[in-house]
Amino acid sequence: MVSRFKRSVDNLHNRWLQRRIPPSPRYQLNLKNVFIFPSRFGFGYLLTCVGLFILGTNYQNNLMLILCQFLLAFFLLHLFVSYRNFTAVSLSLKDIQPVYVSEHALLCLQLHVNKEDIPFYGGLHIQLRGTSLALLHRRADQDREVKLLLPAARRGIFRLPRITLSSTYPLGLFRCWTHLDFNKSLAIYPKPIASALKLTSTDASQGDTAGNVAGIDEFDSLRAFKPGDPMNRVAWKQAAKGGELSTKTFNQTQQEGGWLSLDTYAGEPLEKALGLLTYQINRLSSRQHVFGLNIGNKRIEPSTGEAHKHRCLKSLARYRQPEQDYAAD
Amino acid sequence: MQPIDKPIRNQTASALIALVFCILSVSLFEPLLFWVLLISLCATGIRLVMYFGWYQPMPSLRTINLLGVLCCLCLGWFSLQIGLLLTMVNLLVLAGALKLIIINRPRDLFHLFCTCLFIIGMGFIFHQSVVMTLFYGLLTLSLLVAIGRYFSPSQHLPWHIKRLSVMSLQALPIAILLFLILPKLPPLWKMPVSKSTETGLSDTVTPGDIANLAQSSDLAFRATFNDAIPPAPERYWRALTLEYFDGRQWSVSPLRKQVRRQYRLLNNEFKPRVSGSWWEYEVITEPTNKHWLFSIDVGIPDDLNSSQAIWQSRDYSLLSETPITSRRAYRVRSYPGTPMDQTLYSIDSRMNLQLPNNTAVNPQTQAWAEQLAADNPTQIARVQAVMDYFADEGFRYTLTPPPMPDNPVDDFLFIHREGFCSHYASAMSYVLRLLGIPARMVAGYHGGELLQPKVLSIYQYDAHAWVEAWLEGRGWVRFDPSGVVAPARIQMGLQQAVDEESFLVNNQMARLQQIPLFAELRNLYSLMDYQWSRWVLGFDAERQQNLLALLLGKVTPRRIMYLMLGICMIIGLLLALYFIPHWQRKRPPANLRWFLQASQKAEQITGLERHNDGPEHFAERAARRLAPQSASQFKAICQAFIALNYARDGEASAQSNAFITQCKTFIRQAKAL
Repeated sequence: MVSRFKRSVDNLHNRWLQRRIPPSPRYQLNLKNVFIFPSRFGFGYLLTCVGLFILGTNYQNNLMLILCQFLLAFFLLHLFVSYRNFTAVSLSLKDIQPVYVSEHALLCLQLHVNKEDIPFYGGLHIQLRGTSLALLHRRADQDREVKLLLPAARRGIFRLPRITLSSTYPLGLFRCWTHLDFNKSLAIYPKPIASALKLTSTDASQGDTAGNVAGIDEFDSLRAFKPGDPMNRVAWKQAAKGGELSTKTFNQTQQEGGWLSLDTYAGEPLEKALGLLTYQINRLSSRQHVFGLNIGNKRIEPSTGEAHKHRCLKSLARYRQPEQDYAAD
Repeated sequence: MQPIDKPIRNQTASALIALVFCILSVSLFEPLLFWVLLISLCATGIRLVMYFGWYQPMPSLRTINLLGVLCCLCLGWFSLQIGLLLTMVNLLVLAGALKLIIINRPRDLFHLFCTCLFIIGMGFIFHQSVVMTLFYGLLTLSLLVAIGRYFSPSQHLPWHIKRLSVMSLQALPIAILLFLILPKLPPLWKMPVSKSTETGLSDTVTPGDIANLAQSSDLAFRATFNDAIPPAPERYWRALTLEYFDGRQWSVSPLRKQVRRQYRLLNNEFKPRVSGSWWEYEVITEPTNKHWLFSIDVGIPDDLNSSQAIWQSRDYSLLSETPITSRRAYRVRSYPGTPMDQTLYSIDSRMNLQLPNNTAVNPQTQAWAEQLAADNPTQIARVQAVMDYFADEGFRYTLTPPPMPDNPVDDFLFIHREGFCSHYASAMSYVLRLLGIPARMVAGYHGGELLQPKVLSIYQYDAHAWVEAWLEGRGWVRFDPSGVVAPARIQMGLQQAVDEESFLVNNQMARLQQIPLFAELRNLYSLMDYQWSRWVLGFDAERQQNLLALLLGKVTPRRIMYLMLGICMIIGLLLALYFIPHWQRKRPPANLRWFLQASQKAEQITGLERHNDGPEHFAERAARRLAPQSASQFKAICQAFIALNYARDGEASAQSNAFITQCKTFIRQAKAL
């Protein structure tokens, strides 16, 4: 009951935030997206002021009263100083590099100071909203960058939840905060599991059974280096011995039109099968092999290169995994 | 990847707050118990050792808790002796000290910060002078700096000091506005008062006590007169009447206290009928921790606020409702011409004909009184005879009379014949009582030093005692035997009445007073102190009312509301002034400012004018008139300036400090040909 109520309040809050601070790749902090309220310490400070006021009144001691009123005035100034300091920056988020399960993704938030005469000082506290992932970077003003490591527990493509940033400069009496949505997502690929390569020679859609493709890795011969040959095929050992640059050639017979397919591992549990595929995609890509991917009813035509690799890995990550909010668990 | 911050105990903030705490506890040297002070010094030591990393392991929480329990037990034991207020102060400092040892989380730092603020507030109970206020102000600033340092560790300490000083200065006008306008409430409940040792009069006087007071140059109180000030001989500041004599010592009569209590129960305050001319003045007393107040002759509270706080007693003295624990101002109107015959003779005479129970003490005096009574039939003649005896028998006025332990009055009257005002007053009152005339000793002050044309400062060494005797048909009449013996005491003051040797012998400060420059400084300081206590410490509900009346004409709720709105607007304007960027003058970058200063210096030395010359061109022109070394320096500066302005961002900041030093050296050393 309580949790349901809490969830509905959260939902309301989220919808309100969506209207109030719509997603954007870069934010200028201003009246519209900054919240400010006394921190716990601020309330403690106010309590001290009340204590001083009572003491000063009871002893009819003007100096105590002045001290109390000075502290109150300082509190008021603090409000404005905090706000001005926090709104001196605009923020952007670097693209998050995809990672494999059980690695850590790096969230890197960059601070840009708008005007030199209103600089930003103090630290920044960063938290992924709705998660316990948080970090206080006390020298954010120096580094102009706040980084947060996100553990990758499950594969999938995750929407990045709002990032809560808060600053307590100069004395921590007030907390300025904002919830920003940079509209970024985080791709977590399955964890690679080493195995022998299993390429089907023809298009899997034609129903051929998958077989071992022999010799894909087998070294064939050396030939003279031609400009344009991939660097990882250069026989560096020979070159280091003083020989001419030469390129290793492999058994090329299977290179054209090799296919990776989930069906190959139909007997394995799904996650393991995906892990095996991940390993193979990486392996093939590092060899600049041309390959295609068949997963479920999705086909990725044979190709090669980094973009192709990520396209394949993303489709593995997304397989039977609806897109959802990132949660660190 | 993630920045690993050192634990809070290794941070500058913790060391800073430790230092502030240490200084704070030392400043409370007097109210603190010695062992509490020792603990707070140790705690500071431990914190600093941890900060410098000489010894890292922190005592466990359990150790500190045990220590805390032990300390509380100790303090509980001592609290019986030192009273509630001092126990509170000690407890607060103790808690701060123990917290200081175990600062490990930010929260500990904040707790300590609030505790320190509270201790500073407590400090104002004990110290209220201008100097101490400034001192505590600085401590408050240091506390803010310590916390600021925690929240932005990447800035340097001087930067923090500058930044927070500016903020404090900005907060000050707002604080002053609030102070002036926020209503001054009466005390919400009774607070414990300190039992600290005080200088000043006490309610039992052994002849010789006041002589000790004469060694003190502490301020007793100040009086600000509206119009004329009374001539020097008339300045008899009454404080309390001593009506009970046990043969050696005078004290406030228990009967008087009882009578006073009864009248208070009935709420029947004494309202003397006053007549004749008057003096109007305001008294600012130093804390005495006692109830009595000072006024000349018959004084009555002058305004509502004072009369609420003052009880007029039937011995013509004024009593404060609460003990004077801090400087207090009150207004009085004194009527020197009022006859003091308005109280019940039956009660007064019962108290003031009282004689010591032990008739064996002072036998010679008793015999002499019988003789006097036989020789002089009338009251007046008897009093006159006693005064004549003092005048004629070679009495000497001195601060250092020989001790007279056994028969003090006999020894004084017939053997030594030297003493201080209280000896004379004591002896005379006793003799008059023996003669059947109601008489009492009055303790107070006499005299005062002019601080300003209408302001008198009365110091402890002005303490005085004299006699009041009830004469038929006239009521209480003042007699001052000291005035007969040493007229200078009454005419000019104590300093002139006794030889310089004995005056303030133990007081080094007073010796310095002989040096003119020092005397002037002291005078300046007391003037400042006077204004301070008058306008800051003495700003009470009454003065606030006056101020409001001055601002608003008539104080009505509607006008008060307007005033409040006005104040809010002023505060708003102040904030706008501080924070709207438009108001802020744009400072040119440091490079440019220093370059301009350097070229100004060059202009000044060479007599050339730069007009709109480019740096290089001007350097060429100026170099011809500069000494060779300066010329090369200046050229280097101009080149560096150009290089800096066209450099890329990253490089510029690195070189800019070097450039500024270059400019500074040039400005210092530049010479013309």
